[in-house]
Formats: sequence, C-alpha cells, structure tokens
Amino acid sequence: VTDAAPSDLRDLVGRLEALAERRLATRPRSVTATSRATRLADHLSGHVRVRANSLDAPLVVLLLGPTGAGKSTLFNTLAGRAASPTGVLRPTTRRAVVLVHPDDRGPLLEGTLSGIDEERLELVEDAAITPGLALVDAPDLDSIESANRELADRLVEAADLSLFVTTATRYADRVPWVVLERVRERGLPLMVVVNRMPEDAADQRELLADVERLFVEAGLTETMAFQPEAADEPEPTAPEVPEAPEAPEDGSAAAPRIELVGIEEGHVEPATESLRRDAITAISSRIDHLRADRDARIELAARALTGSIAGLGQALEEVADDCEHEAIDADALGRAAAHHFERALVTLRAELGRGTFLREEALRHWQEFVGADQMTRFFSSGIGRIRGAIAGLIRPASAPVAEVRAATTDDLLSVATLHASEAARRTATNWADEPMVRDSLGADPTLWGVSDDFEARLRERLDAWIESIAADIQATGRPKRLMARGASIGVNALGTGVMLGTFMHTGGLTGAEVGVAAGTAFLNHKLLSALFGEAAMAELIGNARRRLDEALATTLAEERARFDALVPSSAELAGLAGELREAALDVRNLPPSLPPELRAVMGSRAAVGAPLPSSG
Amino acid sequence: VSVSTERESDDSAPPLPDWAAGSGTRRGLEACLTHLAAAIEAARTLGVPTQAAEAVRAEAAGRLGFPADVYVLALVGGTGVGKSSLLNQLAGVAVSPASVRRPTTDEPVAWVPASARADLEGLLEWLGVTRVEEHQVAGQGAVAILDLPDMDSVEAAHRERVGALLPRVDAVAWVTDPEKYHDAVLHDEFLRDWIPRLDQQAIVMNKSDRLDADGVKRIRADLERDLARSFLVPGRRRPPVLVTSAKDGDLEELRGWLASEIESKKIVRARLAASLATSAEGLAAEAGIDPLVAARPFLDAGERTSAVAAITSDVLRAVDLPGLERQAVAATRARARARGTGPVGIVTSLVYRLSGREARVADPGGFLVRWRERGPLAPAVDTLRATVTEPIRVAAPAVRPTLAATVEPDRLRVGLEAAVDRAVARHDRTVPSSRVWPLIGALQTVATFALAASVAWVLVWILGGAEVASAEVPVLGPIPIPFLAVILSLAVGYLLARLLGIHAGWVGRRWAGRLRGSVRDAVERAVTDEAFAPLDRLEGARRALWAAARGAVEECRRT
Repeated sequence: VTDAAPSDLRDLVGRLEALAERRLATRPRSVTATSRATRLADHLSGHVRVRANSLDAPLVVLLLGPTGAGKSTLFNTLAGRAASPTGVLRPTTRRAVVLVHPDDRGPLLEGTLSGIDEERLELVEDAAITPGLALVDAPDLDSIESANRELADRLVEAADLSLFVTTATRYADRVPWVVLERVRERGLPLMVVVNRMPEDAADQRELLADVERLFVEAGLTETMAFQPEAADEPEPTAPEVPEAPEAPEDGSAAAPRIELVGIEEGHVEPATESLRRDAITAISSRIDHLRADRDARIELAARALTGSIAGLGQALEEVADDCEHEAIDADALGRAAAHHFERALVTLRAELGRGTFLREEALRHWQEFVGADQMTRFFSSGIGRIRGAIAGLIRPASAPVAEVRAATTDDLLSVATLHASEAARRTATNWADEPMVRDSLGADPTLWGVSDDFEARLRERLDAWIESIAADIQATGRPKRLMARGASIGVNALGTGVMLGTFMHTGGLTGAEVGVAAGTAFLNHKLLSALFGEAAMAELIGNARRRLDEALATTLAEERARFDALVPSSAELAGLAGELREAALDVRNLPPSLPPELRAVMGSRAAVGAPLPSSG
Repeated sequence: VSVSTERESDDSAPPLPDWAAGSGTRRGLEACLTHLAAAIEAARTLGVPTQAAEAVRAEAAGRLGFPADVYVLALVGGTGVGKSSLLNQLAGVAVSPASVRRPTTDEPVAWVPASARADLEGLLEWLGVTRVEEHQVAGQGAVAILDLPDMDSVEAAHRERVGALLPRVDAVAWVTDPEKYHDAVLHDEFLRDWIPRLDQQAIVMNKSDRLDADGVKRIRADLERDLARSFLVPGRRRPPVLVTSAKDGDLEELRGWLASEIESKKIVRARLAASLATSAEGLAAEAGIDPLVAARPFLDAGERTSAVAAITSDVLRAVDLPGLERQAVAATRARARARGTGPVGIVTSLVYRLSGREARVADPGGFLVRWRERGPLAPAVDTLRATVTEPIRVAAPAVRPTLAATVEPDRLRVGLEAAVDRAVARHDRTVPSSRVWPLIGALQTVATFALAASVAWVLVWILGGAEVASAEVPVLGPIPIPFLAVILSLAVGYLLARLLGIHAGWVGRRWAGRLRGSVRDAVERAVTDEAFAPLDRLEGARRALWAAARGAVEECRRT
C-alpha cells in the first residue's frame, strides 16, 4: 500500500507532535520517562516535521562523540578553518558549532534547530561553501557537563547523518553506546571515525575488527549502511589507513558494511587545530559529494526520514507504556489518599454524632439554661407552667449563647483538625517510599499535617454554618404561637439549641440518667420539640447536620487536593496512552519507504516548508 | 574441637588485631567501630536506612580479620587509560596483558612481593583475586597492587567487579588520561562517593606523552581545582595528582607517592577509619545532623514548657477542677453533717445517701475516676500534634515519618488517658474530719433533747393546766420559762448548725484546694512524662547520632 499522501503524513506528524506536547505537559515522573518523552518531542519537531515538509531543507550532518575524541579537530578540518575551539582541557566545546551557508541559516533556525536555545548555538556562516548542507559540531556526550549531554541528545534527534567520532581508547565506553543505541532506534545514517589509531598496521587491523564487532553486536549494521550514492564515484580511502576489514562481499547485500574510518594520531596539526586534509579524504569527499549533488542530499534526507518513521512506532508505544504505568501508579496513590481521608471523615462523623467531643463544662451551662423554670414552662403543664411564668417575670433567663458556641466551635475544630492531620500523616507515610511522589513530598513538609490555614478555613465554614441555622429558623415559617413564645428566647439561643441537637441524640433517654450530656440532650430535645413541633425540629436538625457534613467534607477534600496535586491525573494519562497507541498503529500502517513519486514531488520543491500537494 | 567465632554478630565481635590500635587515629579503630555501631543504632531508631552503613561495618570487620603487614592498592580507571601498562611498567615485566582491544582486563590481577605471598593468601581470597603474580622487585614497599577491570566500558560485569572490590581495598590509584579526566562516570559515579571513604589515594594522569609541558600543567591545575572544589573532605588531606607516562616509562611521581607512605598498617588503619567515619557521618547527614554544629533539639526548653502547660490545661478542662472542688466541699459537709448534727443529722445523712444524691454531688473520688465522661482529650492531643508540626517541617525527609508517627492520635490519646488515670488515682481521697464535730454533735444532741424537753414542758403546761395548777410555773418577767426554753434550745441548735456549717465549709475548702493542687500537679507530671516520651526517645537517638558522628570526625579523620 503506497497511498500515504504527503499531506496525510504532515497531518499525522502534527497529531504526533500534539500528543508529545501533551505528554510532556503531564510532567513525566521518572528520568527515563522524561527523556523518552523529550526525545520523542525533539525528534518530531527537529526532524520528522522538517522532513515531512521538505526533503530539500538543509541537510544536517552531525559530528558526535565523547569528550576528547577530536570532534572539533575533525570539524575544523572539514570546515577548512578553526571554527570550533580545541584544547587540552575537557570538555572543550560547550556550544554546538554550526557551519552554514548564509542562505541556509534562516531555514535551519526555523526548522531543524528551532527548538534549541540560541545561546547554545554558534553559527559560523561561510558564503564560500555550497548551500544545502550544514555541518554541526555537537558538544561531548560524557563529561561532567551534563548540559552538554542534553544538547547532544537533542541534536541526535534532529540530524540527517551522523559522524560518530571516537578514539582507540574510547570506543568501548558505555556512555556513548547509549547514544548509539538511540541512533539505531531512530534509523539515523551513521559513519564512524576512529581517531588516534595506533601506528602499527597489525594493531590497526585488530582494533578496527574489534570496533566492527561491537557495532555488529549492537545491531548497528543495517541503519549504518551508508553506501556511496553513485557508482561512478570511487570510494575514497585515506592513505596509509586501512579500511574496515573485508566484510563478506559474496553477494550478501543484506549485511552491508559498516563505514569505518581510522585516523592516526600523528595526523593532527596543532598549529591549525585541524587534521591533515589527506587523512580524512574518506569523510571530506563524502561531504563534498553531498554538497555538490542535490539528489544525493534528497536521497539521504528521504532515507533519514524513512528510518525515523520506522522507529516512531516503537517510540510512541514506549511513551504509551510510560503513560500507562504512571496512570496505574497515580491511581494507586490517589486511592491511598482517598482511603485515608475517607476514613478520617467517617470517624469524624461518628464522633460528632456521639457528641462525645463536647466538653461538659459548656453543656452544663446549657443544661442550666434549658432546665431553668422559665424554660421548662414551654414543655411542662399545670403548676410547673405557672411557676415558670412567674419565675420568668421575676428573673428572665439569659441563654449562654456565645459561650456554648465558642466552646462547641473550639471542640469541633480540634477534633476535626486531629482527624484531618492524621489522614495527612497516614497518606504522607504511605507515599514517602513511592518513587513517583517521594521528591515532591520531601519538598513540601507541610504535607505531614493539616495545611496552615486549615483551622481558619474550617472556622469560617463553621461560623457560616451556625449563621445558616439561624437563617433556617427564621425562614422555617414558624407558627405565630412560636413567635410569641420563642421571642423571649431569641433566634440565636434557638439556633444554639439546634446546633447542639445535631450532636446529641436523646436515643430514648428519659432525663433521669446520670450525666450532664444525657440530661442536656433530653432537656434540649424537649424544649425544641415544644417550640417547633417534632417534625419541624427533625427537619431543622437534619438540615443542620447535612450542611455541617458538607462543610467538613469540603474542607477535608481541600486537604486531600494538596496530595492529588502531586500526582498526574490517571484518567488523562490512560487516555493519552490510548491515543498514543492509536497513533503508533497509524505510523506502522504507513508504507515502509516513501514512494519514489513522493520523493520526486518533495524534491522539486526548493522552498523550505512549502506545502505539498495532496496526492489524494 | 575448635570454637568458631561469629564475625558478623554484634555482641560477640572478635578481639581487634594488634595493628588496629595505632597512632594514626587517637584511640585506634576501636573507637571508630564503636562510633559507627552507635550511629547505626541511633539511625535505626530515627528511621534512617542503615543497610549501607552495616555493609561498611561488615567489610571493616572482614578486613580486621587479616594481617596488615602488606596493604592492597587498586588501580581503578576507565578502559584504555593504561592501568595494565602502568603496572607492567612498574614491574618491568608484562604482569597484566595490555592490548589495543577495549576493554582489555576482565579479571583483576594482583602483583605482590614474593616474601608476602603466604601472608596475603587469605586476604587475596577474601578479595576474590585469583590471578596472582609474585615479584622480587625491591623498594616497592609492602604493597600488593591490583590491576582491576575498567569501570566505564560496555562490559557491565567489569563495573560490578570494581564496585564489589572497592569497599575492600586499602588504597586506590584513580588512573585517567588526557581524554577521560573529566568524564562524568569518573567524577560523578566514583570520585564523589569514594574519595571520602579512602585515605591513601591519588589521581594518576597517565599518557602525559600526549601533552606538551604546558598541557600537563593546565590539566593538573584543572584536576586539582576539581579536587578542591567538588571533593573536599573537611579535615582530610587532598589526594595528589600524579602525572605519568607508561609509554615513555615516566613513573617518577607514582613511585614517589608509593614511597611517601610505606607504613602499611598505618595505611590500612587510616583507610578503615575513613570508611567507618564516612558511614557514621553519612547517617548523620541523612538525619539532617551536622556533626560540627551543636545539635539543636526538636523542641527547645521554652517551647516544651509552654506546650506542657497548654496540654495540661486542656487535660484539666476535661478533669474539671472547679467541679472537683465543689464535690470535695460537699463531701466534707456531708461528713460533718453525719457527725455533728446529733440525732437529726443521722436521719438526714441517711436520706441523702439513700437518695443517691451524695454519690452524684459529694463524691470527689468517683468524680475523678469518671473524668473521661466529662470531656474529650482531642484538644490536648491536637495541641500536642501542633507542637510537633514545626519539628517535622524542619527535620530531614528521612526522619519525618518516624517523627510524625510520634503524634499518632490514637496512641497519644490512649497513653495520655492512662497517664491521667494514674495521676488521679494517686490521691488520698479520705474526706477530712474534725474533733470539733463530735463535740458540736454532743452539744447539738443536748440541744435537741433540751428542745424536746422544753416542748414537752410547754405541752404539759398548756394541756394539763388544771391538774398541775398547784405547781407554779416559773416566770421570767411576763414570759413563762417553758417557752423561753423552747426558743433558747432552738437558737442554740441553729447556732450550733451554723457553726458546724462554717467549720465544715472551711475544712472542706482547704481540703478541696489541696486536692485540686495535687491533681493538677499529678496531671502536669503525667503530661510531662507521657506526652513527649516518644519524641524524647527520638531526641535521645538524635543526640546519640550527633555524638557518634562528632566522635567519628574528631577521632577517625587523620589530619
């Protein structure tokens, strides 16, 4: 199937870029996941988008390798000038040096190098070279300057051809091989330069054979097959330097040779910070050929793009895997937090319902008030009623409203704070060993208890709650007789009674029980039901209880939200994973190589980023 | 039958060899081992992971089991920097194969003085080194040189090998070259961790033949700057940078360094001391403790005193001291009533008791025991929790879970409740009495009988006036005496009752005051002991860790 229209490809790349951005926005939680997502985003914006728009955009040839391997020296030699600094102190190059023709500068900065901080780039313009090819000297991969590694990784994602520069000492180092693994994954055409070769010819052969062995073992043969484009161009060879040992040439085209170039140590000319020109003919002639031949450049760009597309499916799936794993972890963490806060709310509710959190001191004052003669007249009959009426005239009772409210609010606050902070402590203890949140938890020690403004927030809500009870009483359509009777008590006192009623269940008590709480509950209940009637009282108390529950649940939810903010949304991640997998499938369904006609169309567009006609 | 000693066991540690107590460290290695053991113990209490420190301790114990007449120097470095070439050059013969193939050396090779071969047998076996080359070269000092595999190549097994051997060798030469001297692997993954844990060590910059004189000077300065800036260990000498060229046979600086310290026991001792001290300091650092700065407690004295006062007042609010006083006074009055009101008092006391009112309002003992019904401990527990909030925030992350666990509300509540129970049970709840009361009682009895007699007299006088007319009723002025007698005995009875009431109230209040004071003190003591007990345990561990780390810095670092 070869009906992948260029516009389809561009749409797909746009979609992929959006997905990669979304993934980065979820802030991946591990170093590997972050680097995978960053790599994907960098690769899409630095290479795939640029190449999907035009195969004729300037070709980027990247010099890549460990510190001290002589990248800059090689670069200077290829550039024919001391453009990149060299020196004995490691690392030498902290910025990427880019050799461009002035005409290529704009397209390059808008395309391939668009995502890179210009501070880290040093553009060397040379009007004498042929446009269409930019040579980039990457900073090292393995020195203590970790920023260099980041920039080099980024350039690997953007390049069309890489020249991997290593040395006879360095070639088995682990760190550069991690980067080479990525070169293989993304299908980047590769040439290998082994610098500082020993002088002895036998040693040279042995060494190159060993280098080749490592590349073959790493599976880097196929993508490295960078064969000379034209048959009429004889393969250049460096004088006195043996080529890679003969690979089986018996028609087994499936195992192409690795392009290995060895350079001897003595070929360095310190005066010009460059190598002897003739030592690097193998490379320079290749570069010259690409500079001269536009078709060869397009061919190479198309190959880099097909290599990229071939690797994209797996890259997308890996990022999808990361998302799924994170979604699972986030879900588990979220559930742990939910469990602890849920439990806190349940125990808090139970404790409030039992009324045991109230201190007797305040209750006694309330009992003295509701048990006073002038109050009991509301629910007693006969002589008690008359006595109460007289007592009310002689010495009117004043309800200890402020005192009971303050005490109740304080007790409620301390019991709620205790449960909320315990939920936070349990969650934090739970999370302390989880890699996903360990660091963010360590950075915010306030998570081990309630937040600083917890009490203030809850107090404000409790005040509003008490106000709402009073409003309820006023709005409850009180019968006239209640107005007459209740007027002497006052809405605030009634509200306090209802407030206490939400915490204290009479539960069949008769008032004769020992204990202030039970006695108060009984008297309070009698008074309220006498004033409002049983049904209205139950409704008032029910409403108050529901609103208190809401206030507590909201405040606890806010506390929990501090934890939830530390983990990404598992639903979002799971959705993203699904979309990434779908996109990976679409990428895999693209034809394995771009059809020749597409290549022709793309090649005919000289302008960078010019829209391609849809072949549909 | 031979008795085997357990080397790993904490309490049955084998006696230290003679060489462990030397002049290199002030009290010898014993002090360092003790400091690390104390640090591990304290770190465990604080919840800081101790596996690494325990491994170091075990390695040290392992090394102490072998003689130290010859020390083991390892050549460690990246592939291709010329470790094997250096050794071969040192030996003058090909001890370890050098090659252009990378990486070259798979197995560590030991190059040992022939005379020490027998002594080294056990040590080399412990190190896992099987390839041993003997030599007769004089002037090398008592040193066994190990050529190790590389630590930076694609062969992961090589790096593991190096990682496993580094904790066991006595000295290290970190070999690098002009290409690799700033590699992240060398600096970030090896030097940073290992420089503090070693004593005798040097950075060997090989392949100086690649550089001109100026290049050598600049690279040496660059490396020395790193050593001073990134790897500086306080109180420790800095590892020297030695420039060599195995290719040209220029090993002058390396040989000089080898000759600079030839007392093998001192090297081994210093290495073990450095390793033990680094571990102890590492544990302290994990717990957020700087051994060089005086340890600051979780709570200072002032914070603690005000927290105890606040918690005590919260607990006392539940206990309800005014209520207790009322009960105490009422109980005293009840007792006085029973003893000092004569026959009437006996009846009223009985009624008072049987109605159950006495148990409700005049039983301070029962009132105290029922303190839990009167109020929750939540405010007290919350105050305590709030007090520890700040210490949790400033504590090192590793310590936070343990610290936060000290304010687990359920455990705190249970502990406080038990402490308050004990505190309230401790008081003498015998209701006070007075000798005055029976006296008043006796007088009251007399007054009661007098009243009865007077009333009887009045009745007789009124009802049987005719029959006893002959008997003259005495008269005081216009009032007949029987009436006077009734009034008088009533007045006396009333006065006696008032007197009893005033006295009993005074006695009761005095007792109530004492009881209140003693309950308050007992609760305060209980709060002081109980509330901060878990925190104090951690505080103690923290102090112990600080002391151990401090001791390690002072006694186990060679200056």
